[in-house]
Amino acid sequence: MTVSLRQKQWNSFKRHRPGVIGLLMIAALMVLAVFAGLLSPVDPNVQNMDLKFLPPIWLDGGKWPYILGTDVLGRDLFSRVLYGARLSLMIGSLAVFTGAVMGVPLGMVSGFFGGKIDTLIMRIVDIMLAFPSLLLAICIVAIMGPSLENAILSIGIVTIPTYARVARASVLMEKEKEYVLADIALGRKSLPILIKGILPNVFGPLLVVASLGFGGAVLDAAGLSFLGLGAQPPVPEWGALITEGKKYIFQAWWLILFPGFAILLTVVGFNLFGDAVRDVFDPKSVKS
Amino acid sequence: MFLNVVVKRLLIAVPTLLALTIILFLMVKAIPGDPAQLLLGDKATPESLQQVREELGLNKPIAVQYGIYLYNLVVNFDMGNSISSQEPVISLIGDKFPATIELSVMAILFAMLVGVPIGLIAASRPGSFVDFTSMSTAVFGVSMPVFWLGLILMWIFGLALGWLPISGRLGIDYYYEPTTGFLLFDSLFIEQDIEMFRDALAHLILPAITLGTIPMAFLARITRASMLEVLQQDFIRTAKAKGVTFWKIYLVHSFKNASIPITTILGLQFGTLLAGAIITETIFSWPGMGNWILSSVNARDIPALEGGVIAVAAAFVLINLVVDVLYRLIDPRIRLS
Repeated sequence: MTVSLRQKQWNSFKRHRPGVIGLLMIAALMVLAVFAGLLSPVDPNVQNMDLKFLPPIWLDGGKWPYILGTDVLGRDLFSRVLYGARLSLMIGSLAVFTGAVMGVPLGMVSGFFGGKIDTLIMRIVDIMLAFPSLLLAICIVAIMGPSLENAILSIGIVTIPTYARVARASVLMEKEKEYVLADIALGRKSLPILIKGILPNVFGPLLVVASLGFGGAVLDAAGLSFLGLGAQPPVPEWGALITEGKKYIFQAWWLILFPGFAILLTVVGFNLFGDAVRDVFDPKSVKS
Repeated sequence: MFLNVVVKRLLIAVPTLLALTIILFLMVKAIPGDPAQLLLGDKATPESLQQVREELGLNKPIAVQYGIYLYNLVVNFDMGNSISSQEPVISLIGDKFPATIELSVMAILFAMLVGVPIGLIAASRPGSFVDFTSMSTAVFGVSMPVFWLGLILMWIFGLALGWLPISGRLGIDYYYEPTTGFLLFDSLFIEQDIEMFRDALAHLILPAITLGTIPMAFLARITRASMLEVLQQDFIRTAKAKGVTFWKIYLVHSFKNASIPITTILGLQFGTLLAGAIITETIFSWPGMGNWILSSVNARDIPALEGGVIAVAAAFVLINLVVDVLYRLIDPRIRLS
């Protein structure tokens, strides 16, 4: 019986222990995000001044059901972090989508047609890469105004060059292959060749960039929110939660500690997964 | 031949920098708000607004405005005055940049001194418990939200234990008149005050660890990967066959070869650090470029924002150029290609 390439890749992924751990972490995050409404004991936005600065439940003064304690307005931290998981998944997906949807076509066109259009696109990409990405994101948010939507958009924009480069490099390799040459010889139009022929075959490298980019996007969005340029209070985005908690570092350290753990674990999950995907698609790096 | 490559690289850097200034200029123009209004505040009359616009050249076509900006920058070395402080942007950059460079250098030193040994130890016993621990540390390191790490370090070592200062570059007991702006250098060689030097160093520790953690983790991973790759090569087997001891093979033969990718990553990370410093500087109230750029964004101080971003981006381009050249110097195989 022949085993398909996808099947082989899946088998080698399953043997990659850190990758499986990463995938499980992502799955757990998704469950928490989807069922945030059911799992959160209290409404994340309900304020109760009688309950302000309750410590986590295992400490003296902790109170059920406020598992991770409460903030200055008596809001339940655990529920807020849970709802933050939703936001983080949304931020990661939208930022990756924005970067890929603009970068991949640019890179594919650049690689497939070559010539002047290739030079033009790649020059622009080089210039974007000459900007430190966080600085560029800050400039974009400065123009559009601070909000979570604009932060996501700017993070997506600064990743365009990465997607464009990877897509271009993969297309350059693919377009010399016989199936593409045959398509060209048969007189098929460029667009169908690119979309139906080449795109599925450059999927692997793009998946690697996307899964590593997901963690990066969550991290950058939290950073922008921390600087006051992303999610604005009372949105329970993890970076914004830390900014709110920063003021009360003396009274309520839990307000900083737990949202940070949430960010860290999420990004670790996506990075482990991304590293594994890279090893699977690029057998050369498995050895090293 | 080698010189050719250097000159070529420099020639590519010039249009890149030029394009950067154009893009930035256009972007900054797109920021909502009238600079004249910001400059004059609430007491502005239509006439005075008009006059300021005239003075700043805001009525001219945008291409002309850019031409004037570039001319002033290149010929007069002038980037206008900051709206919030009224000082020339160029001299503000001169004030702030040394603080950021000092912080970045310390951060990269931390990254090197911790990251490279971790990678070396991990690669000496691949698959072992030590390897697992080191690489787990590295995965957590690259995934670290920097601002969170900074706050946690601040909370533990600054507030709870009280071991280290958590804000600024120097304690309030010291009066500091910058000579070079590099505090460590000035305190040691100009002021010749060892206590002041110590205080400046103490102020650097937490921000440098915060900023250096992600590059540290990257370096650990790249060191391990390059060492494992080099160890598989034939000349290592030859050395083993000749009876060279393990540690000599490991640290001399292999590390020399593995140092090329390590240097590259080091350089690239250094460039990224300059920008990453924005977050770290905010946490520790570090009076550098990052803090300044961020407050310029919040104050809509356009000349300052423009100048700050151009300066950091230019430094980024230059550092990448230096890395590129260095890496050709180290590796004869790519020197001529």
